[in-house]
Amino acid sequence: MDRDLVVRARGGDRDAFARLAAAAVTRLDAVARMITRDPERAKDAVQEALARAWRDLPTLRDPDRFDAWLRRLLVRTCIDELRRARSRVIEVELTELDHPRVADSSLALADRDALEHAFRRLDPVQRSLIVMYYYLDLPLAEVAEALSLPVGTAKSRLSRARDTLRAALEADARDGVEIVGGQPA
Amino acid sequence: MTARHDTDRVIALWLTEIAPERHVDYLDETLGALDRVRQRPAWASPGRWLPMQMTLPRVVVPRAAPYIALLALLLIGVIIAVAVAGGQKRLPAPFGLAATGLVAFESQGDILVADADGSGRHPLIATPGGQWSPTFSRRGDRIAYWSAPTPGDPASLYVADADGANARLLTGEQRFSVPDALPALSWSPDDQRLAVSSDGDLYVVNVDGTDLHPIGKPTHQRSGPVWSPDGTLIAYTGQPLRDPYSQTSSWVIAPDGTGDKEVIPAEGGYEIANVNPSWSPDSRSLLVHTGGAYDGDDTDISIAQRVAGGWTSRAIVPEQTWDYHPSWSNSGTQFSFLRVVEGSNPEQLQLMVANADGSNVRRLSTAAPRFNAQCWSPDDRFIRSFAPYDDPAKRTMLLIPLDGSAIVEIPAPGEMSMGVCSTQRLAD
Repeated sequence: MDRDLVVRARGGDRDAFARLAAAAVTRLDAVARMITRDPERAKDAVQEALARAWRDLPTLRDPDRFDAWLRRLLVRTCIDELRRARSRVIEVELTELDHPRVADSSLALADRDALEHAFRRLDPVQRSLIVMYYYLDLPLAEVAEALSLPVGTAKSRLSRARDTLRAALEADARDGVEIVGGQPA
Repeated sequence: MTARHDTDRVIALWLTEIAPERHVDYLDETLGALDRVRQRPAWASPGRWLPMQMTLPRVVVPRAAPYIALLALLLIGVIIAVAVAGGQKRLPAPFGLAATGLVAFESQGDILVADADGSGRHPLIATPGGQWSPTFSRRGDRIAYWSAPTPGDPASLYVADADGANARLLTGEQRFSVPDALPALSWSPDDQRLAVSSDGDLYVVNVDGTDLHPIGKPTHQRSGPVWSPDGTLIAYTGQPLRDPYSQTSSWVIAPDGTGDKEVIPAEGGYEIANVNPSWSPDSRSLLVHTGGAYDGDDTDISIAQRVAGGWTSRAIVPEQTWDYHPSWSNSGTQFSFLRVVEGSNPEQLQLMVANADGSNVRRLSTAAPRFNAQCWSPDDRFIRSFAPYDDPAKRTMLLIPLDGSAIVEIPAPGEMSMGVCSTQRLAD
């Protein structure tokens, strides 16, 4: 992250903001697709997060916090997207994008399906916790901060989300696929 | 490898498989849509970043003066303390005219106070991390503020005595997202509760830290709560759940979360209107600025008034001018607002005053700085502001007298935020 770009964007420089957005959007898009499990909702969330970022950038006091701040905006817009979606009770049809064919995947198809179904049962905050902790590899304190949760609460909710996913994997294993080190036996 | 670590590894692997990074083809579309989005100034009001230009003479307080004044204040404080020892301190009424005490502001993560003549500037809260949004209680005997390890981070709400002692945490482990320049807290008229906003939600908490809870259903975003003088309503700025633009409107809600009602609708997406509502002392009306729905559309000062069975609203200063941030005087006989100087380039603002019915609009200064929560001193003798907006390192607090006498300028030791406007009320 270029601090000078953030300072310029904060002062109203659209070109500087465009460069910041271009540098971040690929990762933002991936994170949003993970949390929402829907490419269209992910696109909406990223677009809204970037619009909010542009609008509110002058309120960002410390330019060095831009990445964390933008990540936080994205996660919150993803949560809002999921909450709105839940209130509309829309069933999302999975696209090819949601089930990539990975030739040398070390995960069994059954594991992926088990995780997919279990993940979709998680609430929006739990999904965000899982993605930030396991994919973005953020420390728990930073995950908690992004979600405005006390660290203890974030830890317990993450633990419950992990238990849900593990239970799904174990149930899947009991149905005939044994997991050893993450690979089918 | 343990089963727990197996699970962790499988989850991490699965995440990388389900959403591999890809070329994003909607970035240009996203950036193009920003044409409709105005940047929100640090204090969340219309985006006119103006240079400071004042025509009235200023009294600049030398930076060394506060230390001398501080010693004098300490001596005076000791004398007063001895004089009133054992006696009951008299407190002012929560609304209406009162004597003017200290003015509070934030600089470099500390909360400072000074006397209304610019003397006696000293730190009030200077603990590690950042503190901001100092807001005196209605009776002036306590002060609320946000605190975080780093200014601008998710914060906790504290209340201390007016002298900075006995700081108490009100919000437990919960953290709130409150930009350092937004007026995101308001005292109830009895000083027993506070309303705060964070991430589009309103909360109410008792001053002893109990019963922190959100109010209102999750139908829209809420920010900038302002408790009415009679305690029955909290005014705030509403915004649709999914609206990064400027569909802001004025709302009221009862402190128990009932009676949520829009009192001035949104007009459009160009200006950030309907922010910083100002209650009249009789709690019968609210002032905000409205309009600016499209580029070229002017902004008005509008009033929402309680009538039998509901609310009605109208422009009270409907002139073809760009007017912003109305603020009721404590007497309720007049209000102030900002007006863009017509034809100025770069744009300049002037401070205006009008009678309570919108008549007799007159200019208090020929040009004034950008500021958010312009406010009247409790004795209605001056209006407080900050300048310049665009350089926090050079920003000072301004006390602009209504009688045309010299403006008092109070410099800060470093960068100064200017979102919250609070002056201590004292008994006459």
